[in-house]
Parts: sequence; C-alpha cells; structure tokens
Amino acid sequence: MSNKQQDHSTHSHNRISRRLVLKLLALAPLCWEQTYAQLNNPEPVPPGVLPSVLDVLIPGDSTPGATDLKIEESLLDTASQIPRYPELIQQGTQWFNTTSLRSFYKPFPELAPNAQIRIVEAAFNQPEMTLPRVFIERIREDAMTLYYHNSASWTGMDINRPIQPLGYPDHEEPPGKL
Amino acid sequence: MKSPLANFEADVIIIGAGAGGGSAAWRLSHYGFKVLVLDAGPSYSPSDYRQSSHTWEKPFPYKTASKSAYEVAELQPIHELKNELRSWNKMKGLLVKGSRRANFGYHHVRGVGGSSLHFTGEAHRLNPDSMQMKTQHGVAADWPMGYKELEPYYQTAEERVGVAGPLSDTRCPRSAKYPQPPHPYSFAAKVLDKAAIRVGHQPQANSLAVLSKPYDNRPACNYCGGCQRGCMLTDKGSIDVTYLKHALASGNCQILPETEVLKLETHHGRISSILASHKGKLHKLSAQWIILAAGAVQTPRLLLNSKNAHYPHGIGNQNGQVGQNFMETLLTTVSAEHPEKLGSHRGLPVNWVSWKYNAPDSIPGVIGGCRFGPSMSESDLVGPVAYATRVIPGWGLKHKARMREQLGKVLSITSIGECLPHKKSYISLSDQLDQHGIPVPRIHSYLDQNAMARLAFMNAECRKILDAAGCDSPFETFSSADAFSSTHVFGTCRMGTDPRQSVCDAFGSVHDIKNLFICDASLFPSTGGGESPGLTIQALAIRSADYIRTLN
Repeated sequence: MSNKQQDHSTHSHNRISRRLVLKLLALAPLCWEQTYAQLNNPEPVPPGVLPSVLDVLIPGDSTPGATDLKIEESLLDTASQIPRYPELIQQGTQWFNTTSLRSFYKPFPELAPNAQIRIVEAAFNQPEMTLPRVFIERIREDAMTLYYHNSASWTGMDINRPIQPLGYPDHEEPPGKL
Repeated sequence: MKSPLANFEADVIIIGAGAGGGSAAWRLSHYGFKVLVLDAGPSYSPSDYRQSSHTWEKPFPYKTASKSAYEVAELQPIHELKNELRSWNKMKGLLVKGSRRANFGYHHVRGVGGSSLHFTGEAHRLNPDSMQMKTQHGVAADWPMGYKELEPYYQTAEERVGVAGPLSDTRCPRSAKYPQPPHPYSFAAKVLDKAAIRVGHQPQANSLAVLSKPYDNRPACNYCGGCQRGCMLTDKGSIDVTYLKHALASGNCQILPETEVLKLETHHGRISSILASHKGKLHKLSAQWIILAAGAVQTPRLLLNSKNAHYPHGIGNQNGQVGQNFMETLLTTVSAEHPEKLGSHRGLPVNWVSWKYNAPDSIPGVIGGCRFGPSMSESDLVGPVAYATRVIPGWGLKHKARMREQLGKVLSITSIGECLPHKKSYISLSDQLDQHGIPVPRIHSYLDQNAMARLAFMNAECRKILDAAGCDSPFETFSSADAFSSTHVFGTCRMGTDPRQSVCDAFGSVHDIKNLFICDASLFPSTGGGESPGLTIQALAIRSADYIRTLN
C-alpha cells in the first residue's frame, strides 16, 4: 500500500498561498497554448506523472491508494476506448509536469507531496474549459469510479460487500444495529 | 441449421416481449392460441446481472441490440427557466450547459421482458379520476372505458405478477386485496415517511411487483435495492419471469429474441404478413392476429414505416393520428444529505408513495396530478461510486474520510407528474436510417407552461419533505424542465371512440385494420398523475387478448 501521502493531510491544500495560486493560474494559458500547438508532435511526458496525480487524488491511508489498485492501468484502458481521451491525458500530464518544472524546478513525480497537492489544487482552480481543469475533473471522475468499483476501497464504509447474494436483511434497522 | 422461423404456424404474432406483449402472450397461449413472440432485443438470465460482483454499481448490463435507435429533435429554449427548476449538482454545476433543453435519453430496454427488466417494480392502478381528462378538465382525451371495466384485469395482472401492496388502498376501488402483504419500510424510508406526514402528506406502502413472500416458485426479496440493474433473485416481477415463463410453460408459445420486425404488409384491410430480420436473414411471417407491442416510440415508427399504396401515410394513419400526442415522463428529483447515518443505500427503491396530489385537480392552479416517493435507489445514490462522483466533493485523504463518514446519509425524493399531450410533442420518422436502411423514430418533446408549473410545484414539495426530514440544503436536483429524460412514454396510437381522433378502439384494435391490435402505452389517452404505467399496460393487454378470443 502506498503511504506516500499519509503524513500530509489533505487539509494542507487549504494552506496553499495565494501568491502560488496566482503564479500557477498565470501559467495555465501558456501551457494550454503550448500543448495545443504540440498536438501533432507531443513531447514525451516522463513516466510516473499520471500515477502521481492519481495518488494525490486518491492517496493510500488505511485503504489502498490509487496506484496500489492499479487505477492508472484501468484508466488508460478506459481512455483508449474514448476518442481524444488519450490526447487529453497526454496534454494534461504534460501541463502538470511543465507547471512543476516552472514552479518547483523538478518533474512532478519527484515533488514533495505538499507541492504535488498545490499543483493539483491549482488545476482544479483554473477557469472552466481550460486544459488543466478539464483534465483534472475528468480523471477525478473516472479514477474515483474505477477506485470505488474495487472492494478493497470499501473498508471502513457501511458497504463492505456486493449487494447480492445477501441483500440487506437489516434494512429496517438503523445502520450497524445487526 | 434450420431457422426457428421456418414453418412456424402461429395464430398470433406478437411484436415486442415487454409488458403488453408478454401479458397478451400469456393470456392467449393459455386459451390455446399458438403464439409467436418476436423481440428485436436479446434475452436475459439472472446470471447476466452483476449484483454479486465488485462492479455491482455499474448500470443495467445492456447487450448488443438491447437499445433501439432513435433521434431526439432540437428541444425548446430554456433561457427563461428559473434556476430552482434547473438540473444541477453541487459538484458539477448546471447539468444542462446549453441554452436549450438537453436530451438525456429515452431509457428503455429492448429485449425479452422489455423495460420491466430495469424497472423498480412499481405496479400502480390508474386513478379513476384521471381517465376522463377531456370531459372533466378539457385537456388530453377520455379513456374509452371506465376504471370499472379495467378493474378485473388489474386484479388478474396483480395475481400473475404477485404484487405486494397496502392492506387498505382507497385510491382505486378493488375487488380483492393485493396478493402479497406490503413490504416493511427501510430505516431511511421511515425517516422520510415521518417527514412527509409532517408536511401534510399521507404516504402509504407502495404497491410493488416485488415479492414480500415466496410466490410462484420465486423467492422473496432480500432488499438489495438493485432492481434497476436487473433482478438476480427473480423476486421482481419482470415480464420474463412472470407472464412469459407461464406462456412458455403452456406449450403454445415460442419466443424469438433478436428478431426485428421491419415492415407490416397489408392485403384487403388486414395485415397479410410481416417482414422480420433474424440473424441477418429476412423472413416473411403471417398469422391470423398481429399484436404490436413495441412501446410508444417504436410502435408508431413501425406503422409509419409500413406505408404502402393503400396506406400512403402509414398503417392506421388515415387521420394523421399515428405518432401524435406523445407524452413523456415528467419528473423531478431532489437529493440532500442527512446529518445522521441512516443506511439509506439499503432497501427497496420506492418503499412508500404519497398520492395526495395524484388527482388531476389536486395541485392548486394546475391541471394534472403527481405523486411523491423516496428515491435513493431510483436516483442511483446507493453506492460508493455515486457518492464519490456526485455527493462528496474534493479529493485526497479528507475526501476518503468523508466517504466513510457520509455513505448512507443521502435522502432523495422524486415526484412524477401528469404529462399532457401537446401538438409540439410527437413521434415522426427521422432522416437517419438504421442498419436495415429504415428511418429511425424522431422524438419531438415540448413542455408548456402548465407542465413547468406542475414541475415547480413538484420540486417545491420534494424540497419541503427533505427539509422536514432535517436534511441539509440539497446537493442535486434533476428535472424534466431542462432535460428530456423519459422511461415512461405514452399516447402515440391513442385509443378512443372517434376514429378521427384516435388510432385504436377501446380494445386496442387499429380502426382500419381488422387483425391488428396494439398493446402498449401508445394507447393511453392520458398518463395519469405519475402512476407507473406497467400494470395498466398489462391489464389492457389481457383485456385485448380476451377480446381477440371472442372474435376468434
């Protein structure tokens, strides 16, 4: 199980400095233009950017993190069946890495967890329909879906098994009574 | 290999193996008719459903051909729509981003069992007051028969399926009690029940085609809440495990899935043959009686596509009525989080129902009624994937912690209301062709001010109930006001006494074709005030079958 994020509460992304947000926001259009121009000749993205982003979104704690459940593989498999999704991943991860290099002088996978969290936060704060925002919202949705389809993610929830064959014979009672 | 269609002698060919086709097949096969049921979709077995797998939260397992092709014409502008009527989610913002109503789909299953394969099991009789909308309220059309005439057929349908319902049900007069005792309420449904009572509703146990006790060699429900994903246990009374099972057992019925009827051919005022495609081959079939039961979108499509020199506008369409009067599901759902853990992912989809505003004159200032009920399962808010993507915003460790804390706290209320016909709502043929080169149906949908006013009332009342339950502000609303999203479709081959205003007579017999009957919700002159139509379709089809027997 990955514990990379375990010591860095997600509350830390609330402590992001306003200046850093503004700096990251200012980078966004430039990155978008760059990656847009590179559509036909994309620069290679260093390995590990996508899994690192996924682990920021779904870090390991008492339950596995995204990479522990190989969410990256499933996500790439899903993406391969959807037109333009692989390109979105290519460009989105490139934005993350470029932003990381410009802001922290290191590739995204090599950043400390707090710095990774700040860049993810910045991606969510971009205007609608910009590359980083579209990318991060889309992979959040799909990664969460893939992750919570795996029963290993259910530990600690009131659902700990598929709904059949047992059903919910306790449905009339308050949860946890039976 | 010899085609199963070769040399099959049928007295009756039924097109469509859903609610109407299945119940007619059962009745006629038990009367000794040789019945051939054709369905364009596949067949399903309990092993097709995923509820015992980790991916149980995935939607109904559609197969190749289990959705029919259709098109939705450009929908109306929504720039004047008030914000509280819009579909939205706190994580995603407005669900309809454009300036017009959006097409969220005609939700159906094409296959043996039809849309009953993914229904929640609601088995409602139509409010008798909703059957005379023209005479009483000057809208829609009157049903050509009264509730009294339908009542024995409702009773037969309820017994065949095994409907569990309340011990006392005064909304629709009954000749006998429900065949099954009512289901107990889930814990969360009890919370909503008390809230609804606090704001003046009188909820009662919903009547459900879901077994509360073992019946007809099917087990009782174990309250997994997965009805819409297909029922693995077979306790839900879908058409395949009820009517069609018994039709096959009669020895007089054959069902052919993946057989699409492309055209009806006529000769001397009768359907002389039908052209069907089965496994890539075309077959010409004939029978004394033809029953068309493909639903209110595909049924008019087949009639319109079957035009010939004698019927230049389509079969049954001499007065231009085929495809007119399309009525859709008028719905609003509001969801909110409750402060306490309720285990709201457990239990039946729609435990109770409030009929307080079901009668056509019960909503102040608006013609046409509606009903209310819990809808956590119907809104698909019963598992971690839904919570992660629709309920709990954010990401990281805090998000994971919230997931553990919040699962089971969501409450939802849905209201479904009357949909009245409008000249801008109809089915026509599209320019788009299917794989056989035949035009697909085009759905035209329009909601007028009366419908919007009804939706506004429904929405406000849903919010009132959630508020009375102690919920936080809603996190999601879904509304027909800005989205066409229809499971129940009606009215496109209306029955009536005047052939100028209808396609069929009171028995579903097409006015100008002696051996063609329609047995689906195309017949409905009005929708009722939010009742689920399945049981009424079955009652009408059984009645038509009895009528065919008298003609024979």
